[in-house]
Amino acid sequence: MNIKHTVIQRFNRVISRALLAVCTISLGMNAGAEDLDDVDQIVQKANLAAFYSGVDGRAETRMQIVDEQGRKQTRQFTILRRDHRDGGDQQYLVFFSYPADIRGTLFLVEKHPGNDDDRWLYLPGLDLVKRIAAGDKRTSFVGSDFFYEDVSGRGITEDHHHLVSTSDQFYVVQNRPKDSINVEFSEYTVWIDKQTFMPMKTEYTDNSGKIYRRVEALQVQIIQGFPTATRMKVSNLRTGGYTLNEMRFIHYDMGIPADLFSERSLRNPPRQWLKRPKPAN
Amino acid sequence: MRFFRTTLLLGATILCSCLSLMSAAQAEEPDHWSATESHAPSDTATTDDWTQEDWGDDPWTEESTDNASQWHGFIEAGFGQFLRSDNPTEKNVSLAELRARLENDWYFGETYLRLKADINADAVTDTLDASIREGFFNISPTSKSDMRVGRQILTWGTGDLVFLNDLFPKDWQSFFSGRDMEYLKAPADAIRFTWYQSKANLDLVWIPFFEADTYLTGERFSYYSPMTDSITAAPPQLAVTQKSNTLSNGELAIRLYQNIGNYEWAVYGYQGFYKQPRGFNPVNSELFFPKMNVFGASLRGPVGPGIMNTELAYHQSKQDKNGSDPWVPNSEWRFLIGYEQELISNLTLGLQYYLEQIVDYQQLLDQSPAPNTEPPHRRHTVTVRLTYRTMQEKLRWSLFSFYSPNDKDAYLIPSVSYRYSDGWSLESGANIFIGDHIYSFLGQLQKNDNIYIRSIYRF
Repeated sequence: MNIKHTVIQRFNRVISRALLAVCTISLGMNAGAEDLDDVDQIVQKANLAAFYSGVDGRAETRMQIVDEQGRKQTRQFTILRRDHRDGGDQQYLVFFSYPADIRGTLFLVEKHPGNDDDRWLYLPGLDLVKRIAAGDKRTSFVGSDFFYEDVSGRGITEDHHHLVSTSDQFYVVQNRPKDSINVEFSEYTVWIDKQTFMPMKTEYTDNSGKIYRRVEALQVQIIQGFPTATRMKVSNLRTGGYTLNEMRFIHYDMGIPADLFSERSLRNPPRQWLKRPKPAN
Repeated sequence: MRFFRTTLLLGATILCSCLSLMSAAQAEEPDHWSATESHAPSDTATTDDWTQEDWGDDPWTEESTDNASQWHGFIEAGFGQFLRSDNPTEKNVSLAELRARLENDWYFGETYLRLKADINADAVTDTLDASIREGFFNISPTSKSDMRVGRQILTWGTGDLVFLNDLFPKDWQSFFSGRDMEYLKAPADAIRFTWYQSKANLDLVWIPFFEADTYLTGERFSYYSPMTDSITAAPPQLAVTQKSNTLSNGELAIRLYQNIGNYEWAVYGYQGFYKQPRGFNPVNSELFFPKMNVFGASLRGPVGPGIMNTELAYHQSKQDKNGSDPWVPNSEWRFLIGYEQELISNLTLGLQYYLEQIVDYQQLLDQSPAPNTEPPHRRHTVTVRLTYRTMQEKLRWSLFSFYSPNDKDAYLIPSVSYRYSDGWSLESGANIFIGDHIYSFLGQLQKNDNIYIRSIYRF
């Protein structure tokens, strides 16, 4: 009974995935024909496309952090992610492998959109599990120009959204923070790809109306049917510094268990999930 | 001869620092990234900006492949100098060493062997030491349990440089001399078993042979001696009755812990000995490690924009249960409450209030041969940690301070570290002790004020 049920479920999933693919393709071909005009719907779709692909996912990431004088730092890490539900709570486990001073450091996040995230850091040299104040999500992620929010997403209810224009390629959405005290921008504008709903470019404006920060998706690849920003760049236009981010060996829907995102994995990094899997079909 | 070695090490430190400066100046690593300066909008960006092939020769690729083991480690030169000329220590240097570390993991299925080994040429003690820092097998006997057998670093509890329920060995000599923070935790030869359950996880640590702290002996740092009622240093060597390596001298530590919502609770137990020789045997005039049990609990979680932690522990002095023995410490309550918050971007403030309250205090005073040098009934301590990260976190400023208003002493640790590149970094700092009395907990260290500098290359 159970087995039969599972088979039917799986069959249904395959069918719906196939239908979805067909729909996506036809949508893509008809792009521009049926523009969305509900900005909330656009923002919601963009949020899902950028941060909620699949039920779970894994990626190996490399960052190059370049300062205003051209000096470079590198960060390499593997990210495991699991969604409780699309658009809702998520779990992240980040395992750093390079450079040597942070090798073996792990970062565990329970993300609660609209609320403070729970964050832990494991320092292997001291065998120390440190809890980190959720505090400022708009603070540098491991020294890079990426903010925590760029990595795990900004709650879509935290801004007022306004659809500025719709071109052949993009929905251009302007966002003003509901709570302007805790953010460093006065507004930001996002160019959302009409076909994939990937945010392709985001520009942040300060109080004087000047653009001082830019986040770009420089390469988007379709992986297991999900458009994925595999190359990104964050530019600090005030200093001239920037960070490049490249993701590879990306896999979705691996069946990562929820209890993997725990103190156990901090002390004993889950090798089974961190090691590079065989290429997906 | 000793002077020569010290000079040599100082020279090495300066050389390393210069090298790291030079390497930073020409930090042109192989350009895997061909970083584009183009601010082209996304729709015109091409893949030409990023070379596809470069991941192939990346060290990470090798590391990620199955069963590959890689050697890592560091080379470090450190030098530290006492600031006061009246410190009775034999040397006027607090740190003078060249250290090399090698580490690797070997996997056998899910089981792995970890090895971290140090070689240290130490001009303060005139020794060349090779030591295993970590050397253990990590096994998962069942899907819900892990076991670590061998030499390992053990840490639990919620305090920041304040330890209530963490009775694992600490190396205070390393801490005071400005070595890397990881050396505050000394390794223990232990078996750790962890059992993961939905209601509560269980941690059980058995240290078959007692592992004491690396406490102050007078060799590297001076301290207050009640015998002479003065700040002293070796020689003469501190006469301590060491614990023999028998199983009856083992230590047992237990922790039950779990999360409820955003909050982490834990209860702790410990059976063993005072980690420092706080007992005195008038028969042979030697110090010894009295028996001790510890019971405690902690809670940690978000409050407002920060993280709050609180912890309680009862240190039961087994050999002086009613406080009548003047040569063995009385039992003690310890209480901690702390809060950490990011004040503004990259500036973090951590505050802690820590209480040590002696049980049967009147008994202690009545029996004490020198009641005026005994610690206060309640020793209040406030700690402040300020951390500021700047220049893409390459430069970190930090200040940690302990202050006891009623014991009238303090300890300040200012430090700054700079990462020149992914490999090279430099750290400098100071250990400053202030005290009204030479016998108080921190005041006895007041002649040990020192500054240090360390240059590290990690690979």
